This record gives sequence, structure tokens and C-alpha cells, in this order.
Amino acid sequence: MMSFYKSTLPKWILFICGIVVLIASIFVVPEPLKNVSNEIQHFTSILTSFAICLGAVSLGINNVKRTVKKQSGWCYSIVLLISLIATIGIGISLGRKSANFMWIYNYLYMPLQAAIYSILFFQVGTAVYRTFIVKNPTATVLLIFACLTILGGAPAITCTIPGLTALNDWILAVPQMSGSRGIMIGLGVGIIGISVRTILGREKAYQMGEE
Amino acid sequence: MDKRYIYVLLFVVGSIPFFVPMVLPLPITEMTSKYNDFIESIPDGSIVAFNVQIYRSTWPMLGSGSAVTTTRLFEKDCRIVFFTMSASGVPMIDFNVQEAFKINPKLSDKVYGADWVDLGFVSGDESGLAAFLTNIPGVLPTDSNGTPLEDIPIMKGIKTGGDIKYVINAAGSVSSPPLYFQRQWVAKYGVKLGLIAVKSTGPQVTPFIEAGEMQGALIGTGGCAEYEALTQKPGPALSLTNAGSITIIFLMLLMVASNINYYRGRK
Amino acid sequence: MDPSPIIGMLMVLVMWSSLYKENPLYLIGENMLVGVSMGYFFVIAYNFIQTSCIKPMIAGSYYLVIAVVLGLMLFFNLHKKYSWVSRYPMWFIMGTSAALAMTGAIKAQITDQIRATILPVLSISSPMDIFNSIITLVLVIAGIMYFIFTREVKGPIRHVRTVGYWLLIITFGVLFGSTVLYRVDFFLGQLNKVLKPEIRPCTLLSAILILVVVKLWSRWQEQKGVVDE
Repeated sequence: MMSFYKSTLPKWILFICGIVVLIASIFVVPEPLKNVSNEIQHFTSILTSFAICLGAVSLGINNVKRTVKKQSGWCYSIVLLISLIATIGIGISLGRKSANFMWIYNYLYMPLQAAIYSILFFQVGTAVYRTFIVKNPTATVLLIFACLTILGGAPAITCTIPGLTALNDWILAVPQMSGSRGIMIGLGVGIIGISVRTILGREKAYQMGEE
Repeated sequence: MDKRYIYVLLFVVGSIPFFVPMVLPLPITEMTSKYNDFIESIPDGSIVAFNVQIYRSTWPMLGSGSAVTTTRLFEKDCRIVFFTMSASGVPMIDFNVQEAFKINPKLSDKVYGADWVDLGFVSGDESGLAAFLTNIPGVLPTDSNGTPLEDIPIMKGIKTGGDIKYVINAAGSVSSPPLYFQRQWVAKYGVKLGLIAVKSTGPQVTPFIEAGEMQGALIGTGGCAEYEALTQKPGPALSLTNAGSITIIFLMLLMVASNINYYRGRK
Repeated sequence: MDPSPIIGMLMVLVMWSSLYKENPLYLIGENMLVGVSMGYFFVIAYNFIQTSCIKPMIAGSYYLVIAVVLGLMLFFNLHKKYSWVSRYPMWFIMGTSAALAMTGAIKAQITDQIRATILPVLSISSPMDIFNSIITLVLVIAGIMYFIFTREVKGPIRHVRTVGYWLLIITFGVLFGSTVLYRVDFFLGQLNKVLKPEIRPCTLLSAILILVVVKLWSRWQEQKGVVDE
């Protein structure tokens, strides 16, 4: 009986949601069915916000456990918890348009996020030195086209080498576009396959933890 | 060689243009040309939807493209419905409009509610966008200030994604691919869409541009700099693109050096 | 003078200090980033739930209580014994997302792309356009054929597959070059912020100070006999 509630009923919900939205999207359906499909999509939008809140709560709980048990790096967990609780407290009590909340966004969140992403530039720099080696035909072709693209992003080069911009435009519009289109069509077929398997309950990847 | 020496060189080379500014001619690429043609082809007074998904951290790269686009749309008396598919983009809508007013101060008489509106955050990526487009007032009954949509003049008659004919998608993150805008808005409602995106997204969207499903794109700082030059509204993107030249030349020299090193070691 | 831009600059330099060596300053910054970002997302998501669900529900759309109940069921994921309850909302999302992705992909990624590949070949335009459209048609077919893994491709068709392989290498080369340019753009954007003329002396001083602190900490760790990972 429990396995009906734990596994079978959720699968039926998945199937019904998928089929209703699919039919309403493809065919011209009566207004009530269209409205049901619209509300299912609306509910999905709301549930993703709940999922974000779940993520924050889960993060907080895990770090509280780490602090209480004094596991490795627990001092940093305190920093995390203070930041998390302060941000949520300020945002909810003063409002998301308040000066304090915006200060956190502009001078803490954004600079930290930007800095951590920009570190990848240095990894690219070392990758250029250590791995951009012309070892075989595949690497040669890959590097030639990578270099043409990179040089196309430098005005100092494009204004000294005539035709480089036009060449880059042609590479983007013909060979690269053809490859991307082939990948996109393949991806589209893959999406249809996975979506059908998901709606029919045959996709095992999301059923982790199911008995 | 210790990688930290490479880091130091990258820092030094990257910093040079900020101490020694330079001005270089800038060739215009086809994608930027198409984007400019698209913006200019939007009839004056049209309603345009604008997804501001550029964050404060990606603003130096793409912000000027977004601000100049907003300026041009306001100069054409277009009415803009702003929203964002990302939580981090929420404060950037107002920032984007203020930057547009700085570019052309005559536009600061544009009225909120009549000329532009900030609908705020739409949760859920692809499913959220699909829900939003099927019933805009249902998903967001109020704007970001809490005003009901029925009280906002610009939103009169706008119920679904098909009621807006022109869309600008400023997708400033690698993790926010514009594919789902194509799938949920262009494919279903036949709107015309222009894109502002980071450099790594450029190759991924060329099939849409060549198929006519996307009218044009500003790709990376270079694309935004080209648009600044085309619209004669110079801004930060032009100087950043010039700064990038030296860093790119250095990366190429690094690559040549590594290959020379490799083949010398093999002998 | 408003110290806020200086605080923003210090945050950037603290994170960049990890390039020298991972250190406590960087770890504090990293954990602060995680805490602040999740807190920020929580507030925005909470606002969206208020706007899109709670307020309309109180105003009369009582059916939205189903969404609230499903949303609260998500939190059962935190409990080992009752985590199966969270399957209801999660599989609800998955069913909807799968259907939406499929319907969009059929038109935008398959039929429209195939049409855009074939139609230009049939239309009369300039010789260069005809040449480009024929090349595109051949290359797209070659690219798609490369993805046939269900059975071994034999005979002359395997040469088409080889063309597809090289085409994909070109595509990945261009993608790789674009990614490098993106990283360059991103870094220079941040460097532009920290090297703004108003805060430049402060930036240079702070950078030297942070480097000295990290170096001293690193020496102290070595003296303590801590093994580098």
C-alpha cells in the first residue's frame, strides 16, 4: 500500500501533468483543458521558487550540523550562517528594495561572484600555455579555428589584417553554424526521447532513492 | 614553470590598457549589423518585452549594449515591458533604465507605467517562462512595486506572450542559455527576438540567426562596442574591447611560446 | 567618501588571493558568497511566492492552496524517513518541464532548423549564397550523421561521417575560442572596476597588503609543519 503512495501515485501525477501540458500545447483543445494546462505551468513556476527556498534551508541545516559537530572548516560555516541569516533577515524585514539589501547585493554578493568567475580567466591562461599544443591533426584544426576566433575579438588585429572579420563572419555563418545546427537537431531529438521516457515513467535517472 | 608567474604576467598585461588608454578602429560584424537593423526596424511606439538577465558582475561586459538598446527604444517612443528570468537580475532593471537616461538625458521624462514597467522576477526558467507567456497577469498579478497590472496603462491588452511582437533577451550568463526563449516564445508565438549575450553563447545561436528565428545578436563586449559605434553612443564597451586586444595578443604569444617549448623539448 | 566601492574592491581582491595560495581570507570570502547568494535567492523567491501565489490566494483564487501544499511538501526532502513525500512536487515539475521542452524542441530545434537548411538551396539568389547554402546542407547532414551510433556505418557513407567529425572539431574550436574571449571579457570587466581612478591607490595598497598577509600565513603554516595538499 505504501509503495502506491511512495512510487505509483507520484508517477501518475508526473504522467498526467506531462500529458495535459503536451496535448494543450500541440492541439487545439477546449478552454477548460487549456486553463488546467496553464495552471499546471503556473504551479510549476511557484514550485521552483519553493525549491530555491528549500535550497537555502538545506544549506543552513547542513552548516549548523557542521558547526555543532565541529567538523573540518566549521569556523567558515559560521561565516556562511551569519551571511545567510543576515541577508534573509534584512531582505524579508526591510524589503528587497531597501538600501541595506541593495548594499549587500551591490557590494558583497556581486563583487564576490564576479571575482570567483573571473578566476577562470587565469585557468584559461595556464591552459593556453600548457595544453594548446599542436600534437596531432585534430588538435591542429581545433587550435587554428580557436585562434581565428580569438584573434577576431581583438580590434588591434582585425584592423591590421584585412579580411579577418569577413573570414570570421563566414566561419560563424557556414561551417560553425552547420556544426551547431547538426548538434542542435541531435539535441532536439534527444530532448524528445528523454521527455517521452520521463513522462512515461521509464527514465530512471530522476528516480534516485526510489524503493 | 610555476603557474603563478603566468598569473602575474596576465595581471600586468591586462592592467596596461587601463593606465595607457588607446583608441582603435572597430570593424562591425554581421551579427551586430543584423541586431542594429532589427532595432531600427521596430515600428515607433511598439511595445517591446525586455528580459534583463545581466547582473552587476556581467554589466561591464554587456551592460552598455543593454543600456544603448533601451536608449534607442525610448528614442523611438517604444514602450518597454521589463522583466527578468533570474533573481540576480531584479535590481538591474531599474539600473538599466537609469543608465539609458544618462546616455540621453532628454529621455528622463519617460513615465513609469506609461512608457516602461518593471514586472520583476519570473521563477522557473523554461517552465516559468512558458507559464508567464500563457497568462502574464496570472503569474505576475502586480509589478515589482505591488501595483496591479490592470492599473498600469502599458499592460492594458497584454495577457499572453503573443500580445507582444518584439522581444529583447539580454542573457548575461553562460548558465542561462537563450534556447528556451526560442522554444517557448519565438516558436510558439512567432515574435521577433534580438539577443544580447556573452561571447560563448555566440556560436550556439548562429543557427537561429541564419534560420531567421533570431533577428540579430550583440555578442560579448565586442558586440556591444560595435553597437555603441553604430549608434554613435560611445561607452565603456569600446574601451574594454581595446583593452582586450593586448591581453589576446599576449595569450597568442603564450601559445606560440608553449609550442616552441614543446618541440624543443622533443628534440 | 563612500567606503562601499572600496569594500567591493576588497571582496574581489580577497577572492583573487586564492591564485597565490588557498588561504583563510579566500575561504571566508567563499563562504560569505555562498551565504549571501543563497540568502538573496531566498528573499527573491519568497517575494515571488507572495506575489504570484499567496496574495492572489487570499484575494480569492483559493485553488492556489494546492501549489502552497505541494511547495511545503518539498521540504520533506530534508527528512530521511519521509523524503518520498517530496516526490509529488518534484515529479510534478518534471512532468511539466519534460512536456514543455519537447513541444518547444520539435519546432525550434528540429523542423525550423531543417527548413532553414533546405529552403535556401531551393531559392534563387546570388552565386555566393547558393554556394554557402549547398555547403551548409552537406555539412549539416554530415554533422547529424556523425551522431549515428546505433550501428556501424560502412561503405562510402563513412566518409560523410568523417566530414562530420572534422566539422564538429571546427565547431568546438570556434566554441573554445569564444569561451576564451568570454573569460577575457569577464576578467577585464572586473579589473576595470578595481582599477577605477578614484580607488586605484587603495586597490594597489590593498593588493600588496593581502599578498603580504597570505605570504606570512603560508610561512607560518610551513613552520607548523602543515603538509601542502
